[in-house]
Amino acid sequence: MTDTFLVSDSESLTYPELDKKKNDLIQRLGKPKPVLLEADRNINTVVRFLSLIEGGHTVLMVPSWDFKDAEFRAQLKQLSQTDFLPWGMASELPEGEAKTFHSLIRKGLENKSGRFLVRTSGSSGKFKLVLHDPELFFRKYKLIGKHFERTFFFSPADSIAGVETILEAYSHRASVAFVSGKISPALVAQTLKSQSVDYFQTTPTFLNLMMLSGVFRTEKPEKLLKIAFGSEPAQASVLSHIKEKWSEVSLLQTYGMSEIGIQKTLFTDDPVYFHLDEKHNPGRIKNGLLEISSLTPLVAYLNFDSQITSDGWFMTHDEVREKGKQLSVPGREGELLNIAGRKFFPSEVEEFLMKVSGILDVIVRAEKDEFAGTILHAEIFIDPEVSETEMRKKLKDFLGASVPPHMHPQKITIGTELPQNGRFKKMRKA
Amino acid sequence: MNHNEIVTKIIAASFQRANNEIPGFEATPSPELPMFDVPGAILDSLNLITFVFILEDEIKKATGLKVKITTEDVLNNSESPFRSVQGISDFLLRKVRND
Repeated sequence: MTDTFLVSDSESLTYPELDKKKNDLIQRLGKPKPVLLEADRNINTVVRFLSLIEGGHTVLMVPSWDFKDAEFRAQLKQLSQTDFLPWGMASELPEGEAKTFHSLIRKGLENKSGRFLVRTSGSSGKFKLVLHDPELFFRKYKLIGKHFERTFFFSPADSIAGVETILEAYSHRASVAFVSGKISPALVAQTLKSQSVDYFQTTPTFLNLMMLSGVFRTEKPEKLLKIAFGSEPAQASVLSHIKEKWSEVSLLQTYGMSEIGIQKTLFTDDPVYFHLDEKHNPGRIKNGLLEISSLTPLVAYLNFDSQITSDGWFMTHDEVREKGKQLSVPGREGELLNIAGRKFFPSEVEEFLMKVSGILDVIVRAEKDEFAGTILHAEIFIDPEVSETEMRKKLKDFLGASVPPHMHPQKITIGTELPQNGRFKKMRKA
Repeated sequence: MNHNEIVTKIIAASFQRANNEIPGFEATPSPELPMFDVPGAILDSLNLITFVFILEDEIKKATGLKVKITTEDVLNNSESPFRSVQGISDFLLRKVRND
C-alpha cells in the first residue's frame, strides 16, 4: 500500500498530509453549505473537494473560465435555485452567505450528507445539473476492488471521469500522478514512466495524438499494465499499433456518463467494443437505445426530468450496435459533442459566435474525422460590408478571449449569402 | 513541386492563415521552429487539428490535390512530422509526390 496520494514531478501529497489538511479544513468550513469550486488537476482542488464532501457540503466544480464569469454564476443560480458560494482564494474558504436553496440541496445539507454536482449539456443550450451521492461511488469501488496502484489524472477535474479518478484512488488509498498545465502526449508518456503509473485512462483522440507523436514506438513505461479509453470507440488501427508495440498492456473500452459515472466493463477480444459487466452494471437495449442499471445513479437532476425508468434503469439515449454481448456507440443522440473531456452541443458554440458583430448567422456542425474524432465546423454568414480577412481576425480575437478552448471550431468557412433555410439569428439576437 | 515551393507556397501560406485564425498562434516559420509535442511547441492538442486542416486546404489551393494528412502512414511514421517546420515540409513533399 502506498503512502503517496498525489504526485507530480514537482510536488506530492501523502495520505497523512491529506488527512491533516482535510481535518483542518473541515473544521474551518463549519456548517454545510453549497460551494462553487474552481477545478484544476492539482493538489489544492483535490484537498478542497474531498474536505467539502466529507464535511457534508454540496460542491460543484467548474473550470476557471466559468468560475470567473459573472454571467455563468447568474445562470447557475437561476438553474439550480441555489446560492453557490464561490471558494475564496485569499480566505481559503467559501465566501458569502447562501439564502436560496434547491430542496434537494437543502435536504443534503441538513442531513450533513456530502454531495457533488456535475454539469452536463442540455439540448436547449442550458446546462443540466446532476446531483450525486459520493457514498454510492465508495460502495462501488469496494465492490469492484482495487485494480490499480497509481493512475494518471487525465480527465478534467470538473468532469465525472475526473471526479471518479479522485474518488476511486482515494477510496483504495492508491495514488494519482498529475501534470500541471496543459497535457501533451510527450508529457503524459514521460509521466507514465517517471511516476510508475500502472493504469492510464484516456480518450481515443488522445491515443491518436500519442501515436502521431511516436509515443508507442518508445519503450513501454515499465509499470503500465492497462490503458482504458471511452466512451467513443478508438480506431482499430491505432489499437493494433499499441498492441503490437506495447504488447503487455491491456486495452479496455469503458463507458460512462455524467449521470451514472463510469461503468465497469470487461476486457474484450475486440477493444473497439465495450462489454458492460453484468454483475455490477447490466445493460439492456430498448428501441435500439441503451439503458443501464448503474451502481452510481444520480440522486436527481436539479433542473431536468428524471431519465430513470420505473424499474430503475437509466435511459442513456445512446444508440448502440451489438456484437454478442459487446456494444459500441456509433454516435450520441442529439449531436452531443465530447471534446477534451467536456460535453456540449453545437448550439452553445453558435450562441457564442453570434455575439461577434458582423455575423448574420452561424451553423455549427459536428463532423467525424478519423484522426481527431469529432471536430467542429462553423459555417459563418457575414455582413457583405465586412471582409473575410477582417472577420477572421475578429474571430481569432473573440475566440481567444471569450470562448473556452474546447469550443473553438477547427474548421471555419465564411460566406455572405444566408442559406435558404437560414435561421435568421440576426433577428433572434435583437 | 519541390521543397522550396512547399515552403513558400504551402507552409508560408498556412502560417499566415494560422496567424489570422488560430487563437494564441503568433509565429513566423523557420526550419527548427518547434511545432507540436516538443519543448516550446507552438501548437497544443486542440489547435494542432485546426493547423492540419489549414495545411490540407493550402495544399489544395497550391496543387489542386485533395490530400488527407492524418492517414495511417503519418500515424505510423517513426517520428512525428509535426515536431518542427522542417519535419512538416519534408513530410508534405513526400505526401504531395506520392499523391
